[in-house]
Amino acid sequence: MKTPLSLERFRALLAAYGARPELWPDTERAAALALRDASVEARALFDEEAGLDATLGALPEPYVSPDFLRRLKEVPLRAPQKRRWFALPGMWIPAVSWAFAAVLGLGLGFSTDALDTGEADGGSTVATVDSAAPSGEDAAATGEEDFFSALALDALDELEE
Amino acid sequence: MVSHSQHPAEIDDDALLVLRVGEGDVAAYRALVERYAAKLSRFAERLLRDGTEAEDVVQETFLRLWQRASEYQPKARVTTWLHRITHNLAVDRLRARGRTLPLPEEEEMPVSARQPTLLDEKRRVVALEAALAALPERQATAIVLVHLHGLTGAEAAEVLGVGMEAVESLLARGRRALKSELTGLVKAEGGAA
Repeated sequence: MKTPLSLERFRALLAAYGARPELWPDTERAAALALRDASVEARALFDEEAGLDATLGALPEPYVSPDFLRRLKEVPLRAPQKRRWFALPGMWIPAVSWAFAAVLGLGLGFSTDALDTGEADGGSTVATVDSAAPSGEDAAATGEEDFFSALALDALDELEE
Repeated sequence: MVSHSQHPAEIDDDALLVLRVGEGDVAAYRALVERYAAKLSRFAERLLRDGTEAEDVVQETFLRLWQRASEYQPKARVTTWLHRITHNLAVDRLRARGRTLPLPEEEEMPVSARQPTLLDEKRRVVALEAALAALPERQATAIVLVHLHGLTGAEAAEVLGVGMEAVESLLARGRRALKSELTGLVKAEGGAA
């Protein structure tokens, strides 16, 4: 439920914003319109202000010369933009690409390390893949098979055969 | 005719254009020039009362729009942002000239003393423009921002760097002076008839 507006405040709104409800503050507009519709005095005050608003509304748009407008439109041709480096969309593409490449490289590096470790440590790493795998060279060989199998390289081998 | 209020769709459109300007979109920049050049010119001229300086200020405003669009925060409407830049640049120029903006309490000169009696509606509009030009600077600025450019009272307060009460007071005193001038004209027309 909206708070009623006093006639005094209604008068102040009209004095500042005129008889144009769209200019009245949002928080008071509904109450002011209700008062205008309910009170003969408020309606008379509203109508009295409307004359000035009509004349203000009839003021012509200021003239802007075509030459000045052209100069304004040419500003981008003369002045470079000042942009924060992180706001530049082009900067993100190489940055993300390098980051992706780095992560991929690290990932592959760790995988290769894992194989090397499996060979050296007698299959401790490979054992996590296949707990039944034997230790030693067999384990390393099995580990290699699993790795290339994961990459679907054995399927390529079959095709070659 | 003056467009009095901005539609919410237009507001969003403005903000989108500024975001595109921030990405280097020249077409978006030019659309904003089309939309705001006239309003900002009138605003700057009202503040500086010098057409050449007003053009310089508007050009600087659009240069800043072009160069700093990526800094725009959509918290403020684009129209408020642009008017505030123009206002600050104009005030800087006035200070450089050794002038300050006239205070709101500045004595108001009776416009009728400078204007001949005007009879028809077209001349009534001309008289209103003259009366607006004769208002103390901050009253006229408030009237232009709210009644001609469609800013809200809160937005006009932000541009002028004052509170809501002060803006309402400036608007009320400005409107009272304009009404008084128009009422004087109507009486003069009645007397002449």
